[in-house]
Amino acid sequence: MEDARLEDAKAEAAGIEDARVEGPGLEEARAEDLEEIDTIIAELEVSGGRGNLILCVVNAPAYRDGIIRALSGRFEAKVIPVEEGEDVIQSLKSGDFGGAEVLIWTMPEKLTEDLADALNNFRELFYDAGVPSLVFSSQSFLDDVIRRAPDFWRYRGNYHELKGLDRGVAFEAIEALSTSLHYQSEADLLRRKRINEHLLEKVKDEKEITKILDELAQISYLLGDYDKASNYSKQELKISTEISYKEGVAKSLHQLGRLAQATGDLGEARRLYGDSLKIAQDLGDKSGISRSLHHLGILVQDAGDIAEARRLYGDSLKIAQDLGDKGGVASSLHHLGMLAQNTGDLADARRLYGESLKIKQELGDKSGVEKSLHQMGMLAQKTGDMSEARRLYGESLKIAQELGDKASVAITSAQTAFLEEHEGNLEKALDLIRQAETLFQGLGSPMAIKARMGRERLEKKIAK
Amino acid sequence: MPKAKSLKEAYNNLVIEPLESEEEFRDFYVERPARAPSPIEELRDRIDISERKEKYLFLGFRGLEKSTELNRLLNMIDPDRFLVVSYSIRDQLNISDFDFRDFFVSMALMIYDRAEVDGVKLNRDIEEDFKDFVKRITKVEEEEVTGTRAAGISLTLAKVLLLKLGREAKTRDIVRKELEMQISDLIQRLNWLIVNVEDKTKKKLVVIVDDLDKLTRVEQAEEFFYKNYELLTQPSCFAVYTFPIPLTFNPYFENVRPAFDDAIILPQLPVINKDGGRNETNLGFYRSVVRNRMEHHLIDDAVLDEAILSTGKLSEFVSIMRDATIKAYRNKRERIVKEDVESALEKLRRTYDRTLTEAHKRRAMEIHESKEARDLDKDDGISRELLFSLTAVEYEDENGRWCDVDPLLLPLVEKWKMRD
Repeated sequence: MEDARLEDAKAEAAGIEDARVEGPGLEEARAEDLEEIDTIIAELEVSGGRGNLILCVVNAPAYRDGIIRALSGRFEAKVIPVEEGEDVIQSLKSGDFGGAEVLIWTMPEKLTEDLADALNNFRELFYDAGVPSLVFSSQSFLDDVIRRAPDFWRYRGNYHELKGLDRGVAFEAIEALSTSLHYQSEADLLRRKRINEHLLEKVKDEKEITKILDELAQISYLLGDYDKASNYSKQELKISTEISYKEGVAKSLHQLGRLAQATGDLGEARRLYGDSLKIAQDLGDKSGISRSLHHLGILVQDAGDIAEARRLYGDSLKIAQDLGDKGGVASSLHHLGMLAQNTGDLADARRLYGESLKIKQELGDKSGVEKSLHQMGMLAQKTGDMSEARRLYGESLKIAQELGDKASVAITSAQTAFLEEHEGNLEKALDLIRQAETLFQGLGSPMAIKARMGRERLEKKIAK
Repeated sequence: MPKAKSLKEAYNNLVIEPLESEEEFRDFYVERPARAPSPIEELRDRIDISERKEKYLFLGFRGLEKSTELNRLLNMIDPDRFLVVSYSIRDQLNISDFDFRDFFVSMALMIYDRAEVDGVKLNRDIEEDFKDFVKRITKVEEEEVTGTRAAGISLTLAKVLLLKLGREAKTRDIVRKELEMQISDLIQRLNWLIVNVEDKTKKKLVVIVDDLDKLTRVEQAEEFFYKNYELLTQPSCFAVYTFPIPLTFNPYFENVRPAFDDAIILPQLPVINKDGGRNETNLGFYRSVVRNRMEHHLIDDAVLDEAILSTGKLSEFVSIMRDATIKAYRNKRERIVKEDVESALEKLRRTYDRTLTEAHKRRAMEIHESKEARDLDKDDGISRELLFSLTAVEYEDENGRWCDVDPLLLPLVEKWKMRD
């Protein structure tokens, strides 16, 4: 008997192994996502002929559609796009699923009141349907469900979170708030560098010298010369400390924090931003406080603490608004857009990027515009609009190159490489990722490792 | 400039424009009384010895010859150690459509123009950056500058831009929109220019901006000085800004004043003391203003005193004398008589009477009674309006600060009292 059970178990295991999902759109899925999808498949198979409610979080519509295509290859599936509550109620009440084995629901980006009511009040219908339901939504939609449709949430049979394609996310351009430098081109930036170097020799006033050093540090940072940037900031810190110019101390610490962040030393970055924030708070320097909060927000966002990042950006935004600091407002909106994008609230992300872009255009802040375009490209890529994504990346890259902003050139090149890879343009993708890798290496950026991995993967693909 | 021997010459010598040339100063300028001297000498000394690039507000009621005093300052500053850029915003900008952004663009352009005219060879990067920046914010193309040369008018870039800024509402709109969020970029360019000009000339730069006190509306003046005063302290050179004295009656002035190194006041010289008596010292000052310009036989002391006691403000006094002179000349008289002066005074009084509202008149009567000009609350601007239009005047003497209506209006005040 025992042998027989063992054989059955082996056969079941073999069956499960056989069930490993494959399909267009999932070639680049993360390993942990594939595990989750396998579990979903197993659940759907197990619950065959019975109602079930499986919730699945996927932020990127394009990725979600890839999963749906893969599942449709395994099951007779009926895909029901939901816009309002009535769609759910009528579909479930009709009982006409056209012989489908699985009902796949795609939720909209926002949970409306009407939809929340429908999910809460008609949750039993999912179990009465006689076929399992797999409900796809974004993270922000699910967060809303937990708050506003708690009965539906408690009624779930299971819940899965998929992280998305293992590409691109790490290459999002990160915007800096602290720079007030507006420049038109790399030549313009280089001219400003020469002017400041010239002034550094002429100016005698030490406070003025710290301001010149601060701008030189920012320029060097933008030009990707992190060593020089560090030297200038350290000089600024030294002189500011000697003359007890606390604002200069706070600014130099902040700039050193940015450098630590850019080179991957996040603990040091956090410490430096914290020290800068403390001084700004002591001075009542609202602009400095806003600057530090914003950059601390970036750090915690990178560490995955979305709620804390939202709080920090929100606080920073409030101060910037009070001060009439439109550049600061644009930066906060940009990063709140990134948060919305990461949690799948793409409509909100689009709105926030749009608002941020408008302000930057009014400011003539080409560097900011370039970063907005990059993020909007990512948004288009996420929703599967590859031609729009390519266009936006192209515009962003062009501006970044004009500005001599090596970090942004590297990031957008890497992102475009992944887009081209997805589209099957492997040689072009390889060319782009090589350029990005070289730039990241030159900058001493930790992203060089990711770029290298991407390059190696592409080289293998091309060799095959 | 010889003393006038005839009414015709007297008319031409009674110029209201500020004294400017060496000759004008030599012949016409009258030293202020020792008790209320001009503060210009002290200001000159401060600029001379200060290590810091100080910023000064220069206050005084309109018509006190502030511009003449600023012209004196210009002539007193050591040209071997200082480069003075002195200008009036009335000449460069549109004073009825004026904005702080226009102001700072004009200041930068005036400094750049001075450097260009003096042949100062600026750092190439700084100069190119400045030119690119101002062309960008004004949307003026190089062709427009070269175009003026082709038309036979030789104008520098700065002159072309200043002309457009002063005359074209469209250019002002563009500049304001472009600078709405980039004013700090402009200030940075301005300071680069200043550092470079000072380095090349080996002189310290002094910018004197006249006629800021003539902004046509109180709100406009408050917007400029109270909302943007921090920007006025940012140019890295010595700067003297004329300041509308009625704004000092706004409590906010006490917040603004410490941002500047000093508020220098050109005092108003009362001819009638607070107690109603004549101030002979100040009367003597005003008499000399006329006596320096015309022979004694052209006006009697009594008639002259009548004009002084009925005005008590330098420019208004000179203006009345000029009007009386032309009246005498047209009446084929050999000298100015009481009738000429009274006729000129009455004409001006009628104008005031016509323009003042009932509220203004009531407040003017109160000021005359109390010798104080205060608004009732922050929403009440009547006293400030009277001070702004010089219908009320503030004096400072051994009795401290006190106010009264313009002496010209005293007969009107009596008339209004009777009517009430």
